[in-house]
Amino acid sequence: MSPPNLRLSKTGRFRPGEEISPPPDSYSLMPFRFERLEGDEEQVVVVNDLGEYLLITHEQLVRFATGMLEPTEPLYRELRSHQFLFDRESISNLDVVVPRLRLKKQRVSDFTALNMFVVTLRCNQSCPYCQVSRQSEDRAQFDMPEEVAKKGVEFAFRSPSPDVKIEFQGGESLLNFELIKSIVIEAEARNETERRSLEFVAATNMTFLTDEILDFFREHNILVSTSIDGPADLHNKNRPYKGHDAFAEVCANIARARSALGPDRVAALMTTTRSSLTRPREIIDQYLELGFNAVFFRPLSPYGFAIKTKSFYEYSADEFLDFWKEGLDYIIELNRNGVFIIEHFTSILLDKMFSRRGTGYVNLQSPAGNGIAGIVYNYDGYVYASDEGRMIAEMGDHSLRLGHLLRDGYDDILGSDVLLQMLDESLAESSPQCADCGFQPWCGSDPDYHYAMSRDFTGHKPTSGFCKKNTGAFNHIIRLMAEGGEPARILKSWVR
Amino acid sequence: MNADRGSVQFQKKVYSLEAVKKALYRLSGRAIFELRDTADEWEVEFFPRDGWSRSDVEESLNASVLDEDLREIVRRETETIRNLLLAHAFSRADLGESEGEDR
Amino acid sequence: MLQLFANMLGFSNWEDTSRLVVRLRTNPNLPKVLRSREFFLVKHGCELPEGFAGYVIVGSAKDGLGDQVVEVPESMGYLEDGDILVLDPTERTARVLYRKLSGSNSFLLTERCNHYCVMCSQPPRDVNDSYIAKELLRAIPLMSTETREVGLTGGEPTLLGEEFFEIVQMLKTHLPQSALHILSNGRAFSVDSFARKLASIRHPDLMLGIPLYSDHPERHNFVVQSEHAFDETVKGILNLKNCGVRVEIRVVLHSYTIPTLVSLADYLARNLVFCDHVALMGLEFMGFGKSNLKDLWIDPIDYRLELSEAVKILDAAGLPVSIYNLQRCVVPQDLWNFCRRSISDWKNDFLPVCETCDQKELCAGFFSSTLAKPSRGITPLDHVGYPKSHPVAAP
Repeated sequence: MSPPNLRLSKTGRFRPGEEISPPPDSYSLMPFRFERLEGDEEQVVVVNDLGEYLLITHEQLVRFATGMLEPTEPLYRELRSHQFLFDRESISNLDVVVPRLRLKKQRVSDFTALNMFVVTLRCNQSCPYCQVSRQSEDRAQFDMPEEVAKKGVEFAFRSPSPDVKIEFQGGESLLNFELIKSIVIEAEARNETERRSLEFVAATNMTFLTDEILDFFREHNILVSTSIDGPADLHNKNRPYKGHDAFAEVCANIARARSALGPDRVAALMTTTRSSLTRPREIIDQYLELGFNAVFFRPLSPYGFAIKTKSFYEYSADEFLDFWKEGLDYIIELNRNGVFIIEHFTSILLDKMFSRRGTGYVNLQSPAGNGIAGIVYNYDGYVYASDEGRMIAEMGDHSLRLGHLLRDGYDDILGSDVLLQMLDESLAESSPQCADCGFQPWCGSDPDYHYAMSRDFTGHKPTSGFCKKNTGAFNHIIRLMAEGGEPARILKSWVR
Repeated sequence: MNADRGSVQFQKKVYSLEAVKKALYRLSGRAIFELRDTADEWEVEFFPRDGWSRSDVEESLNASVLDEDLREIVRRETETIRNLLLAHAFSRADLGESEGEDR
Repeated sequence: MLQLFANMLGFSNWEDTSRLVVRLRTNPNLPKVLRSREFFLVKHGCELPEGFAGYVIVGSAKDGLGDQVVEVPESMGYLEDGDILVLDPTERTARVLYRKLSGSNSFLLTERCNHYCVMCSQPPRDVNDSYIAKELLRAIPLMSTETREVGLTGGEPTLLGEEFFEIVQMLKTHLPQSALHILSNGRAFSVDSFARKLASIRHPDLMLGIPLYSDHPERHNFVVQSEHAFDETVKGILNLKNCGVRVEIRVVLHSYTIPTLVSLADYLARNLVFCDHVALMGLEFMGFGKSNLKDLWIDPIDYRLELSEAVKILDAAGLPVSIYNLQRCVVPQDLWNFCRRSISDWKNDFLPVCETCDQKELCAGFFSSTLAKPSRGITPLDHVGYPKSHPVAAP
């Protein structure tokens, strides 16, 4: 609707708009970045430092950037309203962005929230893509000692974060249920005085689940997170359990856990392998059948080291993107037909693009989430800045160790040279190409991935699978939002 | 590797060395580049990698250098403001209680 | 509509002819020691109890009067115990300043304003009305602590400067349990110290209602008829929120604000989302709202889409939204939850056709001033919300 003239039909004391606020003869740019869209190079997405974006043509971009826009153009007004420019009548644009910038970066000052405790390396399954687990009964060698766990809890509360999330990992975490119990009790005791928002998650393959475990989980409100890779054959191929039908047992236990803990206290995610790539719809259908209303197409970063079955799961960024796009299409279709289901990889990106607070997902932050958002206490007492870091260590490279819980203090570990170097070199704001990339406000850094691929934390973005995957995903979402209609509305409704 | 070889020239008085280099960096997955210069021009010689044709790379190169030049302009115009805004965002010196962010 | 002002009144036995702020009592057995400060209200022609400072008589006085009597017309028969009047024996006027039983008492602080809004229902006058604030300062201690809500309006209240803060402080002191709603264009608060000064009073329940008519500065500035208004208002809002003062954004809906209503909602949802409330308000046909009606008028039926989209944007962002002064039959049904019965009782009215409407009890009704030009969509509705009959043509 084009605005009518800003004047009244009779004159008198009322002045017309042009007299009160004549069109400014110049404007100033506010910080922004841009990218051409994949597949349509004349379309450009401009993104300001708050992560807000507009789609314009390249011709408009040139005129805008060189100060040639006319103040009467609709585009001028749109850019002004979205804090891409300011003029003498909208200097307040500079003021309004300040609190928003602060909020966006608030997470960094909140510091470490996610604390992963690898309570044991022992596992009863032998998933080919797992780099860490051991088929062993040797508790002494592979279980986390009590004193290490206690120290870990102390560390968790050293962080100033108002949220403290403790996640139990493994191997198979429930194989050391006794330690999980004592960690929970220790943390709750500390929280009596600390008064943080304390949350527990147990990552488990759910092949076994005793009533004792369920009772304890219910009593302490512990969330259960498991893996469902897809329909039975796919799941069992990815996650074999010798002598058992892993899938059937997991499904049965999911049902038990749901009824004991509540339906929203059991979450599932999937690990994308080569075999998954052709079957996104089946995977989603399987999740629906199991009563989940969320699926996480988790991209697995293949590491460059020689891994026992590398060819089994490795795939390219493009292959992952095709898989994800097809899955997302199906999910949108389901939503249009009244079935509520979310895809988490998408919702994380949407939160980064549209939510005021962004997202806490540790793998898509800049500065990287390593250490400063999430931290890992390994079964042997060594501390790592990420889950990938301890996986790399299991494969023989210990250079990403930050320290040891029983030997090094909190300040030494969080202030360790390797952590600082990791954060510094992977910082998107100062990395080549990332510094100017239009998607930077939404993207993150992945020092582990780049270290694994090329032995440096910065990586070479033009050939980086991490970059390719994220760029492709952002492009796709921008396209979907631009097409509008129900799909766009559905996606928007997922934003927190 | 693609046997095709191409070259593009960029006027020095229009495009900075920085802009050209950044463009080459961005496209380094598509071709191998060699950068030389004459008195008036930057000369980019390239060898396309597999999957990229000479005209693909040439087109990308022209678009990319143009875009890096634009980015230079934008950076120049907005660097100061960006630093100012970030400084304000992270200093609580002038500001009182934070507004109710947690609705 | 209640008559709050009367002139050509009969004043008898007045020694001092200066204006007087008086509180009315109806209890003839009020302890004698308290009577000398109060005025007695006579409604049904009874005897005048002795000892009161004066008497306000509804209708005609009987003979044999006391000191300081004033006769007010029957139309002021609504006056009750606890109400406060300003009496002017020289001009022979009485103005009702405060009604104890009113849901909200609004006090005009000044008619002066630094804006000149094209739809202003209280057109500014450049006069020296500093007596108004002084009278209010005298009246506040007389008000009942049970008063639920109090409003400060104008003109532009902040033009009073120091006295503005005095009034807020006095309201905090004497009416600590009464919510305080101040209408202001917010520009004075673009100076940080002014905002801090208000915040430092720490009124326990304060909200500032500040209009923002568009996210396009030239459009907002046109509506308020003042240069740089947009910038200063936004800055003022930011400063106030920074000090922890609650702010409500007010938007009057007319032909100059509807075109950018949706982009304004988007702007608010992104930049001013920490504000406490957004009020979207139907137009009142008083003052300039009446004289500029031809330019301002847009039938609410014709902006249903914009209104709907704006509300949805604000609501999705978590901003509390209310729709004021629009009738339920012209607002899309999915927005009914946002509609409030907002029109002050002394201005509130309905059309004859509304008598058969099942939604009447919940409806905001009309300003008395807007009865003359209702939307063409006014029609009685049934319990569910469907029209009972064909829409009635506007008179």
